[in-house]
Amino acid sequence: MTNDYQRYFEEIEIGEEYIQTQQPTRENVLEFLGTWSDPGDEVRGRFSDQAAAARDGLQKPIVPGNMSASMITKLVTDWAGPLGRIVSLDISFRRPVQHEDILKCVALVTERDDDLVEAGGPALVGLDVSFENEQGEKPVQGTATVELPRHDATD
Amino acid sequence: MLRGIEVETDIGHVLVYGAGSQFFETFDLSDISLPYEQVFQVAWDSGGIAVGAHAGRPRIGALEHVDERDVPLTGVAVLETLNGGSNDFENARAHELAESKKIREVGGSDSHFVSTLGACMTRFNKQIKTVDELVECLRDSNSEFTPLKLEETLPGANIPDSRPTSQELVPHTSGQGELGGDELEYDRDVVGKEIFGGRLEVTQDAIAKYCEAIEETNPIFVNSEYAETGPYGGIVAPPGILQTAQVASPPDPNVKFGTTQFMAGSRQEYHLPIRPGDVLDAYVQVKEVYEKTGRSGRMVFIVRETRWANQFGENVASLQTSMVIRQIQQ
Repeated sequence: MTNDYQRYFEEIEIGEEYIQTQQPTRENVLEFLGTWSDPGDEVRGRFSDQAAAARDGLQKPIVPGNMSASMITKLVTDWAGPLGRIVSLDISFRRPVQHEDILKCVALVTERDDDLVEAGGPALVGLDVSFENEQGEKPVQGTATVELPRHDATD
Repeated sequence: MLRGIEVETDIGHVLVYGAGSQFFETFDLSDISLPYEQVFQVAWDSGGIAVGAHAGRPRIGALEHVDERDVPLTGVAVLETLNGGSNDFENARAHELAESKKIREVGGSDSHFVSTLGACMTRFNKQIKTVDELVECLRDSNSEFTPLKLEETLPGANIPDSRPTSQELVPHTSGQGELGGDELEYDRDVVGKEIFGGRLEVTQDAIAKYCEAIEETNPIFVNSEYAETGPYGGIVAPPGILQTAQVASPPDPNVKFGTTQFMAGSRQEYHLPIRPGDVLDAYVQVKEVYEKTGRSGRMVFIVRETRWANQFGENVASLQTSMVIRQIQQ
């Protein structure tokens, strides 16, 4: 199943929220680490192995930071739709994301750059993005800038 | 918007408003352990005001330094005791400290994101429109101001006479880390030296594997038929795929600190689409090494950057990863 819903700049309102749920599993993590090749045990470490996680003071294996970054990227590209484009993403990791965490993933519109559009520039929208786990903690938070298509530019 | 700065002192973080040039000439603001007494004094003497930030937070707030080293808080006229980034227990302890020392209190959201602005704030008894007015009010021992939470500003809501005490709240401390005092040792020569970090051949197979791992459904990444009619004339890779690439590390700055490291942040800039068949070259460097103090004590950050260029020499993306090194107590 694909999601081809498209958002346009003119329809964006500051304050609107887009929410989805993601639950990274151990299988997802191993697939992620193996995108290009088998990463080997050294890389998998605390991302798949209980003992290795415990050595780092973790309760259980965690989702790699770059996978959390990828999941945030997905949140943003899902929000933007197929014709949208991420310009930049800036995120910080406040605490670990653990395997099987049920994450409420939120993208909140904070800025719509009408001045830039009027000046002939790209149609940019600013978002706050975050994950919230079942304990109400926000392990990952950040901001994104996205370029969206415009109705008047595509008609 | 009223501007101020946050500096790091030997009793934690301190907010400074309206300080004159004398302040900036006196202190090296990259120092993470400025002498607090002098910071408060010079801020005052130069016409400004210093405020102890998130006073109840471990290490980076004043409270723990008072508890552990009996710091007298000389010259501290205002503490932030209601902070949007602190939990209720930390805020309660900060309030109790201020009350016991007869120090006046403010609130602040400590917001790093637009959506959390105003979580905690300060109500003044008169309008504040400029930094000068803010400073004047905070310096005046007869002025009135009160910390409050966003929900307490709603119509009909009251600011409670008293909030729950620290005894009534669940304690929260990290208990990890230590605040080292020595100058950070690392190889400064490697910072900013970009080297070739490896080559990535983008394949349909890798894109499909990545999409499966993060359960991608955007048709521009997973549906060839759809993508052929799209702006790129075919499937492109989700931008996050570059997160998975294994590249050589840039020259090691050999930071002499810490027992473990974690990813602290990521900054990504995307310039061009990544297509199957693209051959991407990675150029890596250490951008910056710096230190800060946090809940867990001293932390050292190493920021590494990977610049990706395609087979036409065009910059496709730039990814910065910030790793934090900490000292875990065994």
